[in-house]
Amino acid sequence: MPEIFQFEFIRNSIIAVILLSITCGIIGSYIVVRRMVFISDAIAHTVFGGIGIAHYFGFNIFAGAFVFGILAMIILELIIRYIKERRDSIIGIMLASGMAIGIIFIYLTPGYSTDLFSYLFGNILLITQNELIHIALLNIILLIFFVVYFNVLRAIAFDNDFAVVLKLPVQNINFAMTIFITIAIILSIKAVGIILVIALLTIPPSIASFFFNDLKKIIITSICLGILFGCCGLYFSYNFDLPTGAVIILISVCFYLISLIFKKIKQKFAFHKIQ
Amino acid sequence: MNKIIEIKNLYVAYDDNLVLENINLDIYEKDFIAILGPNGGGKSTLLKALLGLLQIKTGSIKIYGKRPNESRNLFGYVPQENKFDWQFPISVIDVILSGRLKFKKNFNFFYSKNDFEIAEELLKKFGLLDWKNKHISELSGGQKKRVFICRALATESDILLLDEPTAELDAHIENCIYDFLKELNSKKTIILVTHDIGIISGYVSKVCCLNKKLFYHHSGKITGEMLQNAYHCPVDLIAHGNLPHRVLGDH
Ligand SMILES: Nc1ncnc2c1ncn2[C@@H]1O[C@H](COP(=O)(O)OP(=O)(O)O)[C@@H](O)[C@H]1O
Ligand SMILES: [Mg+2]
Repeated sequence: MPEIFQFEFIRNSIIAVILLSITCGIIGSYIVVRRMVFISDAIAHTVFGGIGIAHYFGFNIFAGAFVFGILAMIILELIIRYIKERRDSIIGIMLASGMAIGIIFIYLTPGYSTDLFSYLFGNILLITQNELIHIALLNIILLIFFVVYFNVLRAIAFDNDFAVVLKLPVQNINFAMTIFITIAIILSIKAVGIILVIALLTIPPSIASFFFNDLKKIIITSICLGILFGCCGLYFSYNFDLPTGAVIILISVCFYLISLIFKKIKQKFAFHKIQ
Repeated sequence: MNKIIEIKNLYVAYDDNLVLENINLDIYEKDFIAILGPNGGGKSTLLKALLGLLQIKTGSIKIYGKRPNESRNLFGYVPQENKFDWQFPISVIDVILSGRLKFKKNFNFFYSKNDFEIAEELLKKFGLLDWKNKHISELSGGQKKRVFICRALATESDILLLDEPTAELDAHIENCIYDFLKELNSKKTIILVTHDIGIISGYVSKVCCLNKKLFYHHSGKITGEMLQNAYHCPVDLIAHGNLPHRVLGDH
């Protein structure tokens, strides 16, 4: 066995990479094809308010983040529905408020600075067995949900109005997806932090959608890419003693750029062939 | 004949912008109604109100005596597709199959063999069989329109709502579609939003003009007065002089 696998935390983080790649592959593909990247990033930042409050009062961090995130999304929906203001401005204000609340509460908690950093930047090497079980459970529920509702999810995502006319459970499914997105983000924050979590979710599906026009293929490709980037990231960060989350993201970005160039060249080539 | 839809004193507004004003319309079984009117006249809004997709201000809509929210799945709807994300990963057949979801329940949202057969039958009918597995963005505007008509037909609804289904189509296909609708009309009620004043007269049973208010002649024919009221300009201007005289009722 290579030296790297001797440590339990390394083994744990490899399992974390695989499990999180499944979560992020499914949720990330949904976010990308529904063009919900900005709102998802806003959720990631907003839940920090809940993390801060839970930290200060000694609640369960996950519960704090989850309740805060879902409440923020509900309030956002209500504001957008009843006060017709620019959607993206309101989302921007929401995420800033969440961050500000989080920073203040973590500041008020003794020994704040290390915690602040661990949430902002995450650390996949510190993922606990318990957290791995949570991610695995989420994956099982997500997989069942996606298998059962795949056709409905795709119909809603493509044409919400038409799905409403068919009397499909549009509102419930959209709400369930908001909950899944929020949970997936909170669980991923542990690994790469608030700032980078959106990249973990969206880069693999963005690459996959360069090459595939089918939602199932995009999801499966994203999962594989996530595992590839995660394992490479672990390897490099271990060997060069660099922060894991940031290395994973940089590797993903490099792949994204290479794929982009590859796609453009392929398009040019196809165009010339036609001529 | 059976009255199936009853619109009474309907007002619809987006915020402060009143879009439909005092609309009264009865629709009977197997009617083939064309709704004409200038852009922004509220045609799409009226269809959406029928589907319960937007809040009505005052007035009422009854479909088989029920509110739109309860009865919306009786409609096969062809939207005026202008806000679609064409990059969304979905193939032609999957768009059409989504119409079959109307019949799914109890956690079984999988497509059956029968669903595929129905979808392929429609593809064949509309000359799209070769495009079956293509991505939706690879189709031309007219082909996309036909896909959405197929999707609406896949719902096997008794009432069809079509929002400008023939915009962007060339004359030949346009005529094919109207022939096909005419044929369907023997079994279904059809409500059609269109600009083709010239063509429709041979097909539809009733015509009304919508520009905030609904202008409707009890004979069901287009009258010059109706068009004038709806378009606020001389009739031959909007018809580019091509309006066949027989379309106009005697006035
Ligand atoms: N979602 C919306 N929000 C606000 N105003 C709208 C919306 N949809 C349509 N309108 C307005 O309602 C009017 C009627 O639109 P519409 O029903 O689409 O007309 P038509 O289909 O006859 O062209 C237009 O003035 C349009 O600007
Ligand atoms: Mg319209």
